[in-house]
Amino acid sequence: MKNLAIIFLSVYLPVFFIHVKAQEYYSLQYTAAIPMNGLKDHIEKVSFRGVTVEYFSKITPEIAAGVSLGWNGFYERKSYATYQDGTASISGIQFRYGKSVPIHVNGFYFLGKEGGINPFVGLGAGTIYTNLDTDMGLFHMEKDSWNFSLKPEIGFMYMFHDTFRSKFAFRYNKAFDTSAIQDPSFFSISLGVVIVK
Amino acid sequence: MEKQFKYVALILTLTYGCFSDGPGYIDELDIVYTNYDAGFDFKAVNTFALPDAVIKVETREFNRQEKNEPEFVLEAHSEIILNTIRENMLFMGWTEVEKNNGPDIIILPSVTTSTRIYYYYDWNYWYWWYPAWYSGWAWYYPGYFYPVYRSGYSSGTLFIQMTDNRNSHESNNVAVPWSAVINGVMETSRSHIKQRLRSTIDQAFDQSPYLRKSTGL
Repeated sequence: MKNLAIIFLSVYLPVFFIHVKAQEYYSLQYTAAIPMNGLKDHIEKVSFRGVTVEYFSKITPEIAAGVSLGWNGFYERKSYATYQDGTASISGIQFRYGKSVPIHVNGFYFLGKEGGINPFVGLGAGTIYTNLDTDMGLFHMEKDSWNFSLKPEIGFMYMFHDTFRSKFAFRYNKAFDTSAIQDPSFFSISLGVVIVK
Repeated sequence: MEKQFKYVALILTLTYGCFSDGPGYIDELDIVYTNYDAGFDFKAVNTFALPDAVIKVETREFNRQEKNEPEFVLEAHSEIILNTIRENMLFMGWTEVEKNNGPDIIILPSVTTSTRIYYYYDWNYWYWWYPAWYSGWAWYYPGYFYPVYRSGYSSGTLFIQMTDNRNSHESNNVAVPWSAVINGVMETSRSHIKQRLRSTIDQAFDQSPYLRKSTGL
């Protein structure tokens, strides 16, 4: 956790204390997510319930830095099955729930000038909060964790108005292991609107 | 600005709409839980006895000074429960004997319709039937723990305890080397209760292969 704080501060501070006289971008995006690795072990189904809010500022015409906060809700109804836990056996239908909250500090590199379609690549560093629930009849199991995360990203912005852009992004939210939850990573696809100030 | 609100509305609608989480039917909440003492030698015991009625456990305590017998579940339901347990035990190679003929194990079925499962319900509930019943005894579950559950969430539980009847007099306690919790099926409003009782009791024995007397079964 101490390491995580150091990483956060080292990335956040430049973003907030460098005086950048450049355009600022505020974005709200609908986000679908595809579970991977440890998250997929819990829920295999794609989440169509998610949102991402994002802020970034252009340091140069090509380079931008900012922060993002996301939320995705996952759900899956498992088929009737028997589960073993030591000497115990439990049969029934499991209802599995997951919540994922990625929080990242991001850097972007835009390929070309604004106007029309403006592709970019990006990399974020931060954390993902994951909460996994399982309901089975009257039994309830829950675990959660904060995992260190890296987030490579590609996409494009489309300028359709002086103050508005649309944004499409494809991200891999890589989460590293903790003792509570191992690697709850996920791919995400976001589409939303960007307001330029 | 109007366009901006349209975007926001679209995103929020896509995010929160069109989803229905959780069980849609009450049957989907049914569970069958079994657990056992891994140190208990089930091959060393062969005979069992069953009572002729299934008791209702409404509260943890039972005052046997006020009444000799507890409440019983409907005869039709008792019959299904007892017959299904009996069929499974016989199929697994056990031999049924009268309770006074020294059965190795005794099977005690109880039903609770309250919102709790009483793993340590009052031993006095079986005062009316248990062979050589002694007031100083109490339940214990050697080698395993009962699970954590959410009380108040779902009611209607059939609880089946398999007690070791061989040396209760020596230990002054009643060991329960196997137990089953079948939750959901005993709710009074349930339809198809008879069919579901059979299938869930069958499931309890299916998921307990260590109770079989022969591996060929």
